[in-house]
Amino acid sequence: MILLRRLCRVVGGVLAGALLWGAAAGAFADGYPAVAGIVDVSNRGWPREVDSSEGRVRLQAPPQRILALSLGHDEMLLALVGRERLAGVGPFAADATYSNVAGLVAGLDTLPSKDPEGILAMRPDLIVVSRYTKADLVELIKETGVPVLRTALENSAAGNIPNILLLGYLLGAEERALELVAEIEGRIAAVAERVPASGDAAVPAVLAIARFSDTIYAAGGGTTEGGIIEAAGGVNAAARGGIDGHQTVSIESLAALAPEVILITQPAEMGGTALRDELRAAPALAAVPAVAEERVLVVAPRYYTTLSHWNVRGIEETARLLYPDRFAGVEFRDFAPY
Amino acid sequence: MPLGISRAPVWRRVAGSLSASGSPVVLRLARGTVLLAGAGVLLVVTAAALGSYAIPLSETAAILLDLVGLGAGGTAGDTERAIVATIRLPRIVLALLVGAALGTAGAVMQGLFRNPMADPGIIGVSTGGALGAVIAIAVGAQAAFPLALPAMAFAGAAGALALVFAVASVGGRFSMAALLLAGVAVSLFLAAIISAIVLFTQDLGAQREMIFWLAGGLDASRWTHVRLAAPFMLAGLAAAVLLARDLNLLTLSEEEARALGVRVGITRTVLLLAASLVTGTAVAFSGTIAFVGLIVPHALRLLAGADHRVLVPLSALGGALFLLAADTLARLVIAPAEMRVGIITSLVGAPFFILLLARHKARAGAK
Repeated sequence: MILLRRLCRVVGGVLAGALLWGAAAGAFADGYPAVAGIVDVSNRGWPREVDSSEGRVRLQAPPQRILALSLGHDEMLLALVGRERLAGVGPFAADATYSNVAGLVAGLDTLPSKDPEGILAMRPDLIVVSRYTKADLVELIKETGVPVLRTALENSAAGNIPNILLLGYLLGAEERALELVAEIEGRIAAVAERVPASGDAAVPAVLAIARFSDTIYAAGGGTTEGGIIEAAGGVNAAARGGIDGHQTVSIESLAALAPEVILITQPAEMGGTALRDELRAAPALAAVPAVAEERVLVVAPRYYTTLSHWNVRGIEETARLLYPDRFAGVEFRDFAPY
Repeated sequence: MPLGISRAPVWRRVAGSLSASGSPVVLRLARGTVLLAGAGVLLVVTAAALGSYAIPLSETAAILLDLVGLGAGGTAGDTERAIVATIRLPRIVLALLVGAALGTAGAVMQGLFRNPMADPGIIGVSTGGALGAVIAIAVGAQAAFPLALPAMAFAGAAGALALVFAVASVGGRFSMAALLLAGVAVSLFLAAIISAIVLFTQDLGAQREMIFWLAGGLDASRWTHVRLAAPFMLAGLAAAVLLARDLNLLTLSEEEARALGVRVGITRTVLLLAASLVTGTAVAFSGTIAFVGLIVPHALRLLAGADHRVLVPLSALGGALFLLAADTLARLVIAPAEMRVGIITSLVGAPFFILLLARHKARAGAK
């Protein structure tokens, strides 16, 4: 009965989400949701148009040399179109520590830095930028006539679904976008089915931290890591303690937050293991449940810091860490490229 | 003559500055010291008692008394003891040391350069320290050895100082104007190298490490840091206090100072080395914390006068108190998260400074 209720809740949630992004602009047309930004979703031929904060983008034909300036967009583009349609990738796409597509971009041109000349030298026919891209740079590129699409990179897989659909439409990859969205929703729902509902006494308080230059940062409310923790059946201990965004904390703060699990989202070889060992040895943390029960864990940062659908992998891995019994025998796979 | 700077023996100069009991200088120094030291004791106890982990004041007091061998147990648990003894106290002591260092260095630099805008990093020491730290991160040394970063930051500060002296000196002599120009040039040069390293570092994690280090902070203070920093800082502070009288004379003019018995060249060099030593050490252990070295001597000059025999020791005390107060606020205002202490020093320091200036102007206008 409980399982059935949970299933209903999950399915209901996914449906509600689908309706939200679909109905935001009105309706589904020809099986494709009319997400905000698509000018006329019933137009499935070329030219086609979308609106973004950079104005209206009109493409005469499917773009064949796409260039994204953000890692999250690189990850989405590789899932939506083949690498053959990319003019290149951003500077961090090949860094296996933070990129989920490092193995897929070998041989592609890499943008050395975000200077306009270097970008244009890659001869893109569409440039995708995020809200983090400088307005001056975008203006310079637009003045050269290369179309620029700016979409907000959200810090959750579900939040990026409208972006995926918008990109899928503009790139002429609608079918693949729908497949990808269905996979994202299915995988999130599959995890939700197995983990306790929020409010359940079994839900542990989880703290995600990383340390840079001796300063520890905790992921509070509104962060990618926080969203992953909650979707994986945990309570974000930092958000519960009143922390929003990524904030500096001290060892004392960790004791005050008293998490039951600590996730270190930092490369093991770049201080992750050292931080774990220091936390385990800190006298002030000896009574903290995560330390006392040896649940201070170093995790792969690329799943927890990405702003793309790949943080579904973070949800899956976190859920497995929090509830190993419930995921015994379950195999998670990476997202396949187009 | 251990210091070998003034023609008068050290003992006579030290005695000379203290023996005239009842003189305005001694009274001002004594009054200021008692006031600031008293406030310091209160602030230390307050800082030790407050934090994101709630520990009752009575337990904190008991723990502190235990630590100095005056306690009789108390009810505090191991966690509370560990938090006070291994987290809060080393941070408090390092904040006091770094604040004292920056305050003193600021007073010395402002006096030497006869420029109220001079700060401890004016001759490139802070930038040199930052470059050392950035290199340590770029080559991964800080991940391999915990003290590699402060060691390389200190080496960077020392290297920058040596470079500035080499550039400014002609035949072993230098003018303050040449030193200032060389300091600015070297500082800009090193800052450009830092920017290049940060920009061209392909490793995103290392890049973040660099940016966060450059923001400065005391959140990772440990007793090891205190033990390593204290000897350098105390040596530099002692030198600055002992040479305060000569610094007074140097603010007149070099000729007058020389006529009054000051060995100008060596005195200036020792003072510069002392200020640079404490600044370099502070940067090595806390990164670059803005405003303290600029504002504290300024504020105390308005309150206690420009006599360096008073100003230098009070700047040490004032800097220590100011940084400890700022760091305590940084720990508390958004607890359990923390703010960067540099934000607090600027947010609190700037209005305070403006208020002091306004009062000073009003008083001057009334005369």
